[in-house]
Amino acid sequence: MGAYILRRLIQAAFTIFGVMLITFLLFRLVAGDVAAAHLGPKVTEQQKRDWLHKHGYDKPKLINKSLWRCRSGPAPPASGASTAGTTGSCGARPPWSTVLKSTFLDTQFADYLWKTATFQTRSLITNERLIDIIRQRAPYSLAITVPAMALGWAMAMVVATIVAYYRASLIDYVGVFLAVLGMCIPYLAFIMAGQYLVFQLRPSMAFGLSNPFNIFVPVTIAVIAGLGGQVRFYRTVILDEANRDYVRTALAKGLPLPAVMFKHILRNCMLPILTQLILAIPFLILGSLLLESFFGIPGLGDQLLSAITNRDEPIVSGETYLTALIYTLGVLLTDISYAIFDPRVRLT
Amino acid sequence: MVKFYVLAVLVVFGLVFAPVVLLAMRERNEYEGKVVLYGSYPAKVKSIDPATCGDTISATMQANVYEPLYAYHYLKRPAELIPCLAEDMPEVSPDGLTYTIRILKDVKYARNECFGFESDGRTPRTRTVRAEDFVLTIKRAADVHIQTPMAWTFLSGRIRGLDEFRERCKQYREGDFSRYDLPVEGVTAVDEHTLRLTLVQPYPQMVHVLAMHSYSPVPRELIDYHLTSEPAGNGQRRPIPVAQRTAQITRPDQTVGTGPYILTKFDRSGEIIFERNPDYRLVTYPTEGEPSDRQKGLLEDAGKPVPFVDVLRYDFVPESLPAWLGFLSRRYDTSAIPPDVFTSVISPDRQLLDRWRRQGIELVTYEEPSVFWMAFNMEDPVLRASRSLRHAICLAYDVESYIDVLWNGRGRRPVNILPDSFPGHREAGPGPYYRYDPAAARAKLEEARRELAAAGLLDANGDIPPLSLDLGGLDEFQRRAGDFDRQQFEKIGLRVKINLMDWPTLQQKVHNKQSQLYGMGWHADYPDPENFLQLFYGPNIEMGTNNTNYRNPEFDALYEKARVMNDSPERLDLYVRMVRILNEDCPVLPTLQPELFLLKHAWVKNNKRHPFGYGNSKYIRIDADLRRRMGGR
Repeated sequence: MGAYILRRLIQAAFTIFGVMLITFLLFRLVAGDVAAAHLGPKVTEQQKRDWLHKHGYDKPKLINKSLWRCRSGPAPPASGASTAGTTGSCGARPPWSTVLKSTFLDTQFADYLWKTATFQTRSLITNERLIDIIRQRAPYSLAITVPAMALGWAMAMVVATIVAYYRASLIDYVGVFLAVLGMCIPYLAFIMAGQYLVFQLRPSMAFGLSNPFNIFVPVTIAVIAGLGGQVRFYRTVILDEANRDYVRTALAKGLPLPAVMFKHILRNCMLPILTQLILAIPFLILGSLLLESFFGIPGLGDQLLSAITNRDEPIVSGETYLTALIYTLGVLLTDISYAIFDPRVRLT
Repeated sequence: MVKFYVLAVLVVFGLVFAPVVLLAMRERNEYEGKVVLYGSYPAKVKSIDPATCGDTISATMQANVYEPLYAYHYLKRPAELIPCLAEDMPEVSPDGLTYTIRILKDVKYARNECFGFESDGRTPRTRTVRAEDFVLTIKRAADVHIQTPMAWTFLSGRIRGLDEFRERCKQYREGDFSRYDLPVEGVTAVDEHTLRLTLVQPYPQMVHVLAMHSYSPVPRELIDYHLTSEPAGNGQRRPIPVAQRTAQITRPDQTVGTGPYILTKFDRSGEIIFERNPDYRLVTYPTEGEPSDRQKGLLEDAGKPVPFVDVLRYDFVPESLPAWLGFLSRRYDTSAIPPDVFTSVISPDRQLLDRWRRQGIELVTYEEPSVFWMAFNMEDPVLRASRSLRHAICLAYDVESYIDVLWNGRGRRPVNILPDSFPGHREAGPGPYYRYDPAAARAKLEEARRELAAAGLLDANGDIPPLSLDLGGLDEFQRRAGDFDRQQFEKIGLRVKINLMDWPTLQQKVHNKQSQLYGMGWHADYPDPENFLQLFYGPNIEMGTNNTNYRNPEFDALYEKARVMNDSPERLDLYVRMVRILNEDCPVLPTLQPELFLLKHAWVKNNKRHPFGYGNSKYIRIDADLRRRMGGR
């Protein structure tokens, strides 16, 4: 078991490193005048150079070869006292340890890796620390996503159980029809129609959090918008389970359908449903972009998107790292718990 | 099994109601008996530090707290500078190099604990503004450790010793504020209330620069208290290690200004609240303005002390629909008009439709001091070789339709590179090629074909090579703009490839001179044509400000002569000649001078938009009784 956990931990470390490398490459290798994007179009070239230097963007990206030629070239005169810089001339021939250190550590990637992994990243736009942003905003995001998930799950379970219970009846047909209809309507349409309706009925509840109960407006919309897909999924899971031999046996033995449904079928349905829920938990912290934007919830929903569009790379990499970390951890814990309860998993 | 279901229901119930309990524990803001202005803002506030301010939203917010030496008269047009924290306009030496500025003696900062506490141990102290605070402000604008996009742009190479100070700042760590003790030759506090600036060369626009909020005073106590220590609980503070300090103001308790309001809550993508500064000096509403201002009721409060409103409350509303619905349900006092509903609100003759007027909604319009244009890269072989090709494109482009179709008619056709309200615009007259004339465009295209043939630049089929137009933005608007642009070129038989890209990519392409044609523009920083003309000055290509790469020795000579001259008919004449040169050479095709349409409810009084000046919330008056009667909050 210990070896299995160690193996999974090493895999997780590589996964997170890979995520960080890809994020870095996507942002640093993509074309664009990053300094101008942050300083605006009216600044001078010198201001841009100063900005790039301040944020370490003038360093080599992945490998710093500036000291290599100092090692490979002819030995400098003994009196040479100058130090070697990124583009400067060589002084005394540097030892290999210095060259290697400079090669990998005096680079943009090393800076990025260290700052991201230790949560020291700051926004290039506002100079806020990512950790402060998350601390301030994540509770608001969770205030929508957690109730929406819990309520959505409960309602979807109830509705799916009812339509599965009455399968092949009018209730089932109508339920499935409404679920498909709900899936066809864009999320944005639910939001706009819902908000318009609340503005007509009670404007003070349609925007912002002046009253804590206002949170139920976006939560309700999120639940309704997500209900169709969830009902379809849970209904399928329940019906799959209902067709198994043990259910037929139980019914043949004379157990009433409600007892079979609530005591046996639903219990066995929980595994795939809970797995789905657990894997969704890491993303709850990121919030809901559209709901937060439309309802004035100061959460993290738009943080990632606006950071991407504004090239606020430390925030993007920091949030990506955080999500990767939580998700990998969640998957790891799920796998370990599977391995504990099912020894076959350890052998694969 | 029953236990499981009961537990599940309880867990769901707990998770659903927990946020309500937690949200109810937040600090609530109640303004019983106070006059509140309710507004919304569409983009995040990037900065609350005057030195780092570089966008309109931040400037609007900051101007409630900070004040510069000079300001623009609220009502007079064309824009007129008046003293704000200065006693009078600056005393400029005959050589134009030395500015002596006397500062008002009774200006107090808002109370802040960085000044210490009164004898009761609870009430923060204040102090009066001193000349040395402006010295610090200018040093911070030059500080390489602070992101000062706007503040440094206007001072770079202008003040004696300031560029050297910036270089020396690089030797200090960001958190080592002893660099602010370094002297700067050109910025000195002559006495407690006299500031002297010594310039490298005459810069008549300096007084406009000093009217920007980026140069509002900042007390040294703020740096030494808020940026070097942090709360440690129980009223104690602990020092912040130098390596962990930031040189920028980022928290509301660190905003210490002299303005009419104090920032009491700041959530850059949430709620922002300003409350009246009880220590604000006596400032009164203007007693004169434009001739029509009296008729519009804008002088009813003449001579009364400002501000009129006790609390300014702004919500971050990035989507236009909730902002619009919030305005219609009378939760917000003012609103922009979303493009989707524009035609159902504004008539074709650009008036507010009666159905809205009957609801007590009023329209406020104003022209932005901006000009958008399609820029021609003058270092591109094809565009450089054929002026007739540039003329043909200008003549073929239906600018009026562009404004109607893509901007809902929210703007005017610019007929030269200056906005209508600028001196020199009318005198220079319309550019001969800045009009829609497809027949003349085709004739010009034949000339262009001959010019390009002579230069050997026609393609293998003897045609004008396909052109390439870069647009900054990947949204629906830019896609539509690209389609429109393609139609304009194809109308006269020109082939064009439209390239949509994000803004940083466009910036880099333009910087590397890889863009052939591209969408660009300029928003004026101050009401002087020099601000636009510098964009076409040859040596500014290296500075990055002249991104059309336009070079014309005659234009450059006129610019060099005019830029050191004070406002005079002679200088205006030089400006006019420069604009006419551009009218002939066409390094850009001006496409839009935007016009802003804003709506306000009838209870909002004294609302007049200023093209340059910020900090005008203090003049707004809210008729709270009328708001309640009309169903507002």
